[in-house]
Amino acid sequence: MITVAPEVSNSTSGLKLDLENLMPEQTALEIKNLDLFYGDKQALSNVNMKIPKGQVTAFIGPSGCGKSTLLRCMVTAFIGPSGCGKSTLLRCINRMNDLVDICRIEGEIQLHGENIYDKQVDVAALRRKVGMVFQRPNPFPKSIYENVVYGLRLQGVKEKRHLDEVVEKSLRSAAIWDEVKDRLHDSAFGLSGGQQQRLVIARSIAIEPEVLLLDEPTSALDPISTLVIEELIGDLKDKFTVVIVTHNMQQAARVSDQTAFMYMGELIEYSDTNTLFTTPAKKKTEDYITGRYG
Amino acid sequence: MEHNLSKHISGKFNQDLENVRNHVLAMGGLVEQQLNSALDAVSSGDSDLAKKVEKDDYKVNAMEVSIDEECTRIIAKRQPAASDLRLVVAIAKTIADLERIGDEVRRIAQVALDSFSKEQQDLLVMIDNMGRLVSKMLHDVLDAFARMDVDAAFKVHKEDAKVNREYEALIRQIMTYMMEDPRSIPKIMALVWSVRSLERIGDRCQNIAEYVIYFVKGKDIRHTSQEDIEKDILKM
Repeated sequence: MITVAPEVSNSTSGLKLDLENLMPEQTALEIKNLDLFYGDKQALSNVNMKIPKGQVTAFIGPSGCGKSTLLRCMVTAFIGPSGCGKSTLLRCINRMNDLVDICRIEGEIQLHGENIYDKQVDVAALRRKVGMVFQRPNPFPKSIYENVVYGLRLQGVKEKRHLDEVVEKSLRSAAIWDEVKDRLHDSAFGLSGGQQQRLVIARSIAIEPEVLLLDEPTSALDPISTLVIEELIGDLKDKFTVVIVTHNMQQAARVSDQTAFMYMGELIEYSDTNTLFTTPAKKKTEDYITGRYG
Repeated sequence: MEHNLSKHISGKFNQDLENVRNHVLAMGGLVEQQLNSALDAVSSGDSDLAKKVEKDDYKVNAMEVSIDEECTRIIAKRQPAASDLRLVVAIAKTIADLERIGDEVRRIAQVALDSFSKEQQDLLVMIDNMGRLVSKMLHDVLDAFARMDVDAAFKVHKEDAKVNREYEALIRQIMTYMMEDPRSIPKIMALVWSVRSLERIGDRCQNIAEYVIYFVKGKDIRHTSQEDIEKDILKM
């Protein structure tokens, strides 16, 4: 189903997806005519896009352009035990109350063809399908082991052998197993920032979500930890669809397959990362990524 | 799409890009001057001028090295993207072609160190004609580079066909000459090399025209037929 765009057929840049005409089986998330208002203020206007399965898609844009709001839209319906701790859960609940009061959403978001805002949808089941990692690592004040199995315990999994297996598998996938395998029952707060962030990623993937949302996952980390996490993102896309919001454009260029540029609540340009960073089609994108914005 | 180089938030970045662009133009100016001096030396048999051209080639080489360093520095420090990135890439390639043009010019200048008989002088005049055509091409492509003018660059791109025709005609003439007077072959071979060098300079000007189009349009038009370029890329 992967098509070779005519303009690259004689170059070596390889295959790229036709993002506008993605087949249903290639699509993880589809956003249709999405508008979002906080009270009177419109935070997202008419966003339409398809996010392909098993790839990394990055969102870039200035602060307040709607990237995180869009990400939150994908999450709000899903947020739950999957990686949410007490405090985070509380925040989510608060936000959901906010949403009920002043937030209005129009349009739809489909996860593998299913509208997540449909009233018939079993929210609890959906919540397990999308994991989210935030800007600052937020491990729970528990041991490393308990952090990883948190979601599973909430789901009622009790069998120790199964939990042990998941812990090892998740920590391995998050590229942190070798560093923590001898101190699984120590507090997660003893880890460095980069390690904590990888632990949080391990916690999110322990319940095997379909989509992993990363909101500025490395903005609080040093360059080396950042590279480790970027490397990890590359590995994760074999198993999950990864969506990442980042202020670091070089990071978007390094880790993502697709990049979406947002500005003032609108999706300005969405194309494969190679094209977007070498020959963007829109003037606004060009100005933003070359540092001419403002 | 506009290509205003002085609109970055970072003033230092603007300065860096502007500087490197100016240095390319200076290098181009020097190469053009070298080519014209070499042609003058050949047509007037001025061996001193020819020696000066040979000697001054080191300046062209030094400029290539220093501009290359500037490009590397910009990439390392600024991580240019989109048109900035294309500019740096286009510059790095342009200066490589300019340096090679410099080498070809040296080869042409060497012709002036030989003396030629009266009949052979006719060939020199023809070489001079072809040389001026190539020199104009170089001038025009540098001009297109300075203004980042796609249409002017494409005009130069088409001009190369003329140089190639001239080259073939001249080579045929020289061959006839060699057949008539085989003893002259060793000396005439130097002329063949210089004609060949002129033809190569035409090709390199064509390359530079391609980099200009690449920078402005973001399309790599190497190995694309001129009809396709006109149809698909210039209309964008």
